[in-house]
Amino acid sequence: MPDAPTPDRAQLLPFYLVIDVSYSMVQDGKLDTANKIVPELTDALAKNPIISDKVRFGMVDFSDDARVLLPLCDLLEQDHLPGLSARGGTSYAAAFRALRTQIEDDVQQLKADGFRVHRPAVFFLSDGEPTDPTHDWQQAFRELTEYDPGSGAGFRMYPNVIPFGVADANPKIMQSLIHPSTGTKAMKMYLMDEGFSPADAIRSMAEILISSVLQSGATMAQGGSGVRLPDDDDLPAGVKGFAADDEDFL
Amino acid sequence: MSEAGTDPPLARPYDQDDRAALPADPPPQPSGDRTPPPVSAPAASGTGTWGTWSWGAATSISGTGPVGTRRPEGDPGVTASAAGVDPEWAPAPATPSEASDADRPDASAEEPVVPAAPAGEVGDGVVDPAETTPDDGADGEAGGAGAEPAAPPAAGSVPVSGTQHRGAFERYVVGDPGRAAFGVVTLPDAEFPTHHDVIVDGAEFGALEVRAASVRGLSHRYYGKVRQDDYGLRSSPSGDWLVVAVADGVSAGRLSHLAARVVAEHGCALLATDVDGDPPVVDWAGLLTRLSDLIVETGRDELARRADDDVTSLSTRAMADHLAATALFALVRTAPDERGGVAARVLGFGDTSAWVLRGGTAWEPLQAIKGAGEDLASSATPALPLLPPSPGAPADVTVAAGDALFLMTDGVGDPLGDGRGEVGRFLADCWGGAPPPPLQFAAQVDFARKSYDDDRTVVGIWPPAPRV
Repeated sequence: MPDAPTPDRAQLLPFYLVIDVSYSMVQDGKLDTANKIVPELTDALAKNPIISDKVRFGMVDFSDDARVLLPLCDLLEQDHLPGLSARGGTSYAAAFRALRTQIEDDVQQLKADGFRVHRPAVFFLSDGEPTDPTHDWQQAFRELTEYDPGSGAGFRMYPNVIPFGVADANPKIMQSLIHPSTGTKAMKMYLMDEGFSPADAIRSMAEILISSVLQSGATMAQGGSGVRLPDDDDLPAGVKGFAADDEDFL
Repeated sequence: MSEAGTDPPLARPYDQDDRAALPADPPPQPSGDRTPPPVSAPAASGTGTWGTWSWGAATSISGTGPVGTRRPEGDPGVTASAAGVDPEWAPAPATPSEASDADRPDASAEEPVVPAAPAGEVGDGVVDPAETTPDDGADGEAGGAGAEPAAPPAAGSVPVSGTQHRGAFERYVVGDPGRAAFGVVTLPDAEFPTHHDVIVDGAEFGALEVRAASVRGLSHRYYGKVRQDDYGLRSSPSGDWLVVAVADGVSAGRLSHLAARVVAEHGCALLATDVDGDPPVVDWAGLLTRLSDLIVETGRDELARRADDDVTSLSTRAMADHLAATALFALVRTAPDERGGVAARVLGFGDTSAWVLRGGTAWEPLQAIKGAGEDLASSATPALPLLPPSPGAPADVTVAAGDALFLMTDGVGDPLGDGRGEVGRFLADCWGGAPPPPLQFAAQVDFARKSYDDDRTVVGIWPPAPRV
């Protein structure tokens, strides 16, 4: 490997929001609420110089295909934040593949610029079941998340994945997307409470996302995956957290 | 104030009438045997950007002078009579003695041009209020660098510009300072009000010059958490050895600063007693075990005081969640060998790192660089009271004349990287020659660089400089 640049520029925590923009998201104000996530996160970052110096944020939307709305960037440097609009079905495979490509590009670019990049975290928001074949999206998910440090097989820059499910999202499917699913660095998923307003649930999930971003930056020194999820007792209204082995929602 | 007709024109930033609005200044300080103010000229070549320091509010105060400006050129050290200092002006540091006057030409030669200080400021210097001996007034020739003022201020006048030093401290900045460096308001840690933000030492141990600083990082300042790094310095009883410890408290542990203190203080004490043998025989495994026990004991005492849940049954692993710290030790001979180098032995546990700065320019790490060759940075680290399966082998190194040995926590080690980047060049610039004065050393350890907000600790050890 050629002499890599000394990684002595800022150390960075990358976060991605991957969001379902299938037609159903237009209903019940879900998309409108989701559109507020990034502006609110930007405001929170603007108030916290410790975190904003370290956080990079990217956004991918998906329906039948996936689009990168924001490559990993410093939100406070953006003149214009993209808006979400609905367009079609729900292909999880498209989302995972686009994400894998984007993460690889973004991380390599940052490292080439001399930054030290921590493992990315992905917040994956969906309001319904995937419309593509199960084996297809499962394969794409494996390509995104599997890695064997011993052999080097898989995706070295695999992200931590935190699923958010509202409305008709399938709890079991969402649960299978938690990554890592076990161990000290296991992630969680968040599901809307039955009968709760989907838009309000998305609002709560936005709070979880923002607080995780802020907390993660604060705890970046020493230990941990760099993602700090809130305690289950501290969750905003209308959502509950579940681990990969929880059965409570059946 | 000044007597009419005898004052040179003064550069006053505001009208004299404004002085009524000045806050009351503290009383003039007595003179005495004060050591001269540190010659804190910027690094010789002027590399490194000078940023601004802001206290409290995030507004930057633009520096009005180079760091270390004490008196403008040509000030002959004129005295004031005992009636002397105008009490409304902030007292100045002590008039440098003749010895430091001899220093000043070098200092002022290296000071960067200061746009805010017009040339007419001769005589507008800092005057020691209580010096009364006329001899001092006569040492104009020692003033050296600049021209004598045409009419020195008369006795009784203290033509001191009130804002010359106000806001004049400029923080070291390396590359992009980021938003936090000047945007963070420091909060105290209410839980540990006696634990200080910054500790600094500078001394000679035998032939070695030592500088040490532990500085609370921006993140802890922002979140109101205590500094969790620490260091210790100790001479062995014979004086043949300097024992150094550097410790980095694991930030996830609320009490980790106590673990760091145990490592720094007790680690040094235990090593110092062991090291006076020839060759020194140090039981590293025993040392780490002893420190682990002490940390657990400290944790128990503290948790018991707080009446936390039953602590007697906490395992070491459970205790480590409350307090933990890395440890790095160096044993350094205080006398050079026949070639002018000093021998050092270094052993560490955790991600604190040791380096030799060779020839004032090249950083040589004494351990594997954290994260080297990996794609993604990781921040997990082993730390006491958890014990490694084996303590590892110490590294032996010779620090030659012209080199210097540094022990540091990852607050500095991380931005230093492999030593070949911007931070490496900056620190080599600062520390590649003679050791700077302690306060300047601390300020250099505290350089601003985006995203690097961890506590920082560095201990630097310089053998005697090579004879020219």
